[in-house]
Amino acid sequence: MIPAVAINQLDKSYLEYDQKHFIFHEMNLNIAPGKFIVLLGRSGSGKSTLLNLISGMDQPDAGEIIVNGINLTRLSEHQRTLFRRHHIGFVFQSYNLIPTLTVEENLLLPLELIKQIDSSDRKKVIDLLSKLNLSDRIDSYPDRLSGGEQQRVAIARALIHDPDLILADEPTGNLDIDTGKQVLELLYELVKKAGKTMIMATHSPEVIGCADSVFSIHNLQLLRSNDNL
Amino acid sequence: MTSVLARANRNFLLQHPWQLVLALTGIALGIAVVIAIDLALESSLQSFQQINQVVSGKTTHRIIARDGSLDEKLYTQLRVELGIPNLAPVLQGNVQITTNSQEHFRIYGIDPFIEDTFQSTWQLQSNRQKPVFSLIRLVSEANTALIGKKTAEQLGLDINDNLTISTSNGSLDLKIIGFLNQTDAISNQILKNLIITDISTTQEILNQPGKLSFIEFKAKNDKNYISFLEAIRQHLAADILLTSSQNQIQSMRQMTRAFSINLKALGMLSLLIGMFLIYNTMTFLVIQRRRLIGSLRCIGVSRHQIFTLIITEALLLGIIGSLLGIVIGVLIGNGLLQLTSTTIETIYYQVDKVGLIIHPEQLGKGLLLGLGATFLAILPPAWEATKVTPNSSLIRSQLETKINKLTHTTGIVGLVFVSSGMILAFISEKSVFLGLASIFILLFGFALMTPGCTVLLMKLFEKFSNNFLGILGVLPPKMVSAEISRTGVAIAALMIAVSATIGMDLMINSFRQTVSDWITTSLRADYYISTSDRKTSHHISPIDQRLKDKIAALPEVGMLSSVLHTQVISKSGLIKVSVFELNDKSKHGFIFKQQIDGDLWQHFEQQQAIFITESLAYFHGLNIGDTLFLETKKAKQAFTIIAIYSDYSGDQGHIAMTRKLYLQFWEDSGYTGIGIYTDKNTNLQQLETKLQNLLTHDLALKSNHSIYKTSMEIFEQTFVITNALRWIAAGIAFTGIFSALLALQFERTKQFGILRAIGVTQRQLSLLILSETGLIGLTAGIFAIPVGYFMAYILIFIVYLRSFGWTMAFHFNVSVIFQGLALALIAALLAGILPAIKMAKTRPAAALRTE
Amino acid sequence: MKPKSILIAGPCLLLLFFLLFVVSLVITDSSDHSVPENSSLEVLTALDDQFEKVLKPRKFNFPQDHGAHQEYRSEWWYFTGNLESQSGRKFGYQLTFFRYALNRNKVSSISAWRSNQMYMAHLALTDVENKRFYTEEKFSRAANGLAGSSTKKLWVWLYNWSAEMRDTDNSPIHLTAKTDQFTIELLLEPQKPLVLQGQEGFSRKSNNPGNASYYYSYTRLKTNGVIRISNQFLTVSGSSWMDREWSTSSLSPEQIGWDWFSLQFSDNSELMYYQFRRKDAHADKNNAGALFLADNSKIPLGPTDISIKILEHWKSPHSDISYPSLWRLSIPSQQIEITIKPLINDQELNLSYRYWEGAVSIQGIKNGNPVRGRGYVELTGYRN
Repeated sequence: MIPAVAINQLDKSYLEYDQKHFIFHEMNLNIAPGKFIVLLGRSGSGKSTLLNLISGMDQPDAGEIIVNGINLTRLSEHQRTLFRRHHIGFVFQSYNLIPTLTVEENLLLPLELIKQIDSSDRKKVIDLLSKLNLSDRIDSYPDRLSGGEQQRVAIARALIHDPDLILADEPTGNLDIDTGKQVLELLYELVKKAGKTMIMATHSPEVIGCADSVFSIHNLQLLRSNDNL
Repeated sequence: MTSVLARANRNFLLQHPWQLVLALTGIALGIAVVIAIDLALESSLQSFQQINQVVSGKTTHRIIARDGSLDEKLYTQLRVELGIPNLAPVLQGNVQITTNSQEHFRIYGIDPFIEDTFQSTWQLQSNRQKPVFSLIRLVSEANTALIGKKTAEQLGLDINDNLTISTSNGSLDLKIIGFLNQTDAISNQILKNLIITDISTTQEILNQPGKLSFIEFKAKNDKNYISFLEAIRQHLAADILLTSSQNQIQSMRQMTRAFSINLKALGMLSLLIGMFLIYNTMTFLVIQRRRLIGSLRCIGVSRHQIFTLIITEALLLGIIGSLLGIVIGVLIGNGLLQLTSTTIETIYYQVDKVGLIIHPEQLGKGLLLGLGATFLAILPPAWEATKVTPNSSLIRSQLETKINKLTHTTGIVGLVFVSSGMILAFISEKSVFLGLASIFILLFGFALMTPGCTVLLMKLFEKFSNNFLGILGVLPPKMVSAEISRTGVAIAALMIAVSATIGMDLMINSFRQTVSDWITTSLRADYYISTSDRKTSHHISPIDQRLKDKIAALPEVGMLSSVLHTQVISKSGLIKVSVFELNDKSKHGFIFKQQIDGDLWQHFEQQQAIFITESLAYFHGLNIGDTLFLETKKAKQAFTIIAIYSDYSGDQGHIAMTRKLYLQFWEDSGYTGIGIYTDKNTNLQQLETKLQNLLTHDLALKSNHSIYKTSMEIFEQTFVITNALRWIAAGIAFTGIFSALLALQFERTKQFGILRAIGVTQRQLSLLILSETGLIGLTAGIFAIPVGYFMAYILIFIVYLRSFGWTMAFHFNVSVIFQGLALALIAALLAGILPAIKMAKTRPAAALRTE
Repeated sequence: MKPKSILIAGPCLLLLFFLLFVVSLVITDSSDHSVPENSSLEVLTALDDQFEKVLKPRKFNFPQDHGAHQEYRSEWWYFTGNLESQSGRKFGYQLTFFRYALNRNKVSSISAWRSNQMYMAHLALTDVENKRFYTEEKFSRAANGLAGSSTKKLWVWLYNWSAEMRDTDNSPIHLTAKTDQFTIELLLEPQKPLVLQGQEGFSRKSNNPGNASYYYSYTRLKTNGVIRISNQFLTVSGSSWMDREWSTSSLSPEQIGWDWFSLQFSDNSELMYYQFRRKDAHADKNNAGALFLADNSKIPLGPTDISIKILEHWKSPHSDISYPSLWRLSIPSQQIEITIKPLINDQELNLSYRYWEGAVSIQGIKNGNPVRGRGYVELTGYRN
């Protein structure tokens, strides 16, 4: 079986005043399809960097990143973008909806990038929004929505084009505890139902219970701190 | 302000060098244009005054002849018979030097023996001796001269060296016996291209024995003053005029006032567009620093301190930008000077060729203007900055909602401006200044209406895109209206620049067409013989009767017409008059401003009747049926105006009368031009050769084609300066939208990061950005068309009529509109390229991190 | 950190450039003398071999000799006189026309202004009662009718200043000269015939051959006319003296100046005497003069015949130069013993060149009888 994500001997560093600082060194990771992985770690430990690397938005110094059998490190920038639009769904801490587009348009955009939109797509959007309890918000602009609503739209956007891999970077970071919980449950439920792989960077411990695996970044390596399977 | 506070700010500025550079460019270019125009214009206009100080010193009056040339015997008569002291005879002309340069110099013949109370520059050169002794070599040695010290250095000449000039009798060496130095009142620039010799030497060089250009006169300002002047007037012949120097300077200023105001308005336009740029940059800097300002407010920095901080920063930018602008302005001014002088010479009167005269006050004025403009432009953003709440929670969208409301308000205010501009344009009667002011008000009004109109237009584009281009297609118009506070300013700036271009293009085209029609209509003869152009010599010896008879005797010649351009004296001073001998063909050369009846020519030829040009009619409020009183040798005579005709050769206007009528009242002074009409089958080649053989060197033979060509070249030349300035204004506008777009896209880094994250490719992103800038350009272009049309209308029917008294037909030209559209689009796209590339290149991961 | 330093250095450099630019505008050399040394007054007095020299007596022809002699370097028509108004106010006047040749030969030209002759005129009026001294000078070239002289009659003019003998020889001479401040309008009638000074009109000035002039005078001219001082017109009468002299060179290097006396005695006799002041302070052998008696006879006087003692000096407040201001003149052979006193001290002409020329009164004894008189004294070459 092809792993959803395979990372081999990954090196990633950044420069500060001509000093090279490693984030990861000879790091390895293997994630089976359909799993829910949680990344734990302090701020700045490299969680976001790892998600960016997996989505092809960032490039490693050395090593391989293979997602669904596609070796990202061998792809051009353009190819990685095309890869992203088909295979990745992103959920950000600060929602990151396009402010000039309505909720519907925000959801249609990922679809439009893949194919010609037709009425079935619109129906898909409406269905998804109703699942998320956002039917009445379809023509609103993001800045009219509450934080929880925005993040729910963001989740819908991450799932609408049926990607293989969902990357969530602190999805509850900007939300109060109750709203965060609701959003998290929704996200988990939808991902599970669709059978997608999800990697979530977070430092909220309550997610850990649902995760298939929990990793944390220590000494430039990923440590599996708990395996619920 | 604490230094830490200042440093927090400064660091921010230094982190955004592009914005800094663009803000400086905005101020600098705006100021540079204003300064350049001011310097060039003033230098051209002051040259008369300052040259007068060099040549004649503290004179109060000038005696001139109506035809520009005085008999030297008049001077003797005034000095010896009337015993009038403090008179200075002057003969002036142009010569070309051939020593180490081919430049044209002005030559002034003076008498070193006149009273030293004149304190002219040449008299003040020696502080040890009476001028009469230090300059005695001018008289005692033939062909001796004084030139400016700096000029001598540039030409590599020292005392007793020779300066070679070319004259009609071949080349001649002038020995430099002394230098003219700058004094308090005279800058070195004035002494450039200036030669002073004794009057005898000048008469020899210019081959004008017995002639003076004018006699300067220094009257004592006592109680006998008026009666004394009256006594002198009594002794002057009817064709000689005593005018006060003050009057003359004033009337020269008056003459060129319209021209000056028009040019200065162009300068102000540049500054106005520059102000957009400053406003734009400062707004960007304030918005970018919301968080910084919010943080500062959190730790207890007061509103007042924030305001001071922003204002200080802006004034610092203003000072640096203005100083930069002054330096650039002086550089541009040097280039512009040539153009202004040429134009003044073409339309008004001969000006002395001088360098750029720079007065510290003018530079100071530029600095103040720069600071003022900066201050005005940053007041709104600075005020806004003070309203940042400590927690910096005001998010962008709320701001935009407020701005949408503001768009409505500005739209309505803009409409008010536009209507008041229109009203002002039509009720301001003859004022050129108010005419131009109305254009500015209109432009400002249209600029205010731009954001509102843009939003409406974007809605249209959105609908269109939605149907055909999908969500990515909807994004560009949506981005334009979402950020209307930023894009609106850029569009308005570009719109103004493009509409100015369209307006001036339409105006110049209309003008060109009108002038072209006029010349074509006027040129009825096959050949014209005229006295050489005015550059070679000030006074031109006219064509005499014998030559005319010889030409008439040639078998190839069918008919002749003739003209004498001279001046006569009226109540208000000298008036130009064209004295015609017309034939049936040349009568068709007049374009009359009204329906003419069949008796017109009969009246013209048989009565004491004249035609006048429309400029003369406009400025003197004359109409058909009015009478004009002119001094003649048979005392004052009344002449009836029977027609008004078009003439675009100058804005002072002139009178036309028949030669018969002229000779009845004034002395014959030959002809200045002869028109030669041939029959159909004449061998033109042969005729031309024959004519050439008859002509002396100071006469020119030209075909009507070549005159047409030369005239149109002169026409183009007079608009070189307008063109140059318009492109500078367009350049500033371009910088403006470049800056605005750069800032805008910079602000959107994160948004672009998101798009990249969800799979928008680099190319799609570039296309997105270019589409947005293209829309901005297109919008500006679309708005610029009606605005440019308005502007052309006001320029043609209001400003130019008031400035020059010329009416012209509005020639609509579709290509001008396409050019304007293309200009706006290309400018915007060009400005969008760099941000597009930059944004596409940004790694999405990095883009997402920015806040 | 390079970009930042450029951003700071850039504006600083610009500011510096701007300051330099402004400074360069302000500081420009306006103090240098552009007129070369040799173009000064020396042009007029420098020796020029091209000119004719006065070497021997000549035959005078009138009226031609009243006119200019352009082959000689310089020439003058000199009028001085003492006048009195009807109410007894005393005045002195001087009107002099000088001619200088700038070149020996006139260049031919199409221009009437081309001339090698320059005229200068000095006008002075002494108002004794108010102790005022008015002066004015004019210059012109002898061209285009602006200045010149006639060979047909005595007539010299510069602008509207002129001296003209309207009819034949010995008829009245009309003097007219106007300025903004004052005017003279006088008619001078010769009461004695013209006299030739020196040796038949050949007046030697130094030992060098050629340092001499041709010199004749009208020693007594009855004068009537009108003078104006600002708005006041006065009818005046009195007595004038005319000197005519032309030469190419006169002074030798050791002669630094001269004192010249023209005195009219109450017994209808006149005295002309000039003496040179030498660098070595010796008496100059070329000092000379003559006494013209009432019967028109002439008694030549040499340096041994005459003694002139300076009794007082006056220091000019204008120039700080000390001029003699009281003389005792004695001619033992003629039994003349007189004192000469300026009517007022300040008769210094501060014109393009400076000298003292003033009206004087005479008192003393001649042939054992008291004698009075009036005259003019000229003092040149005095320095401080």
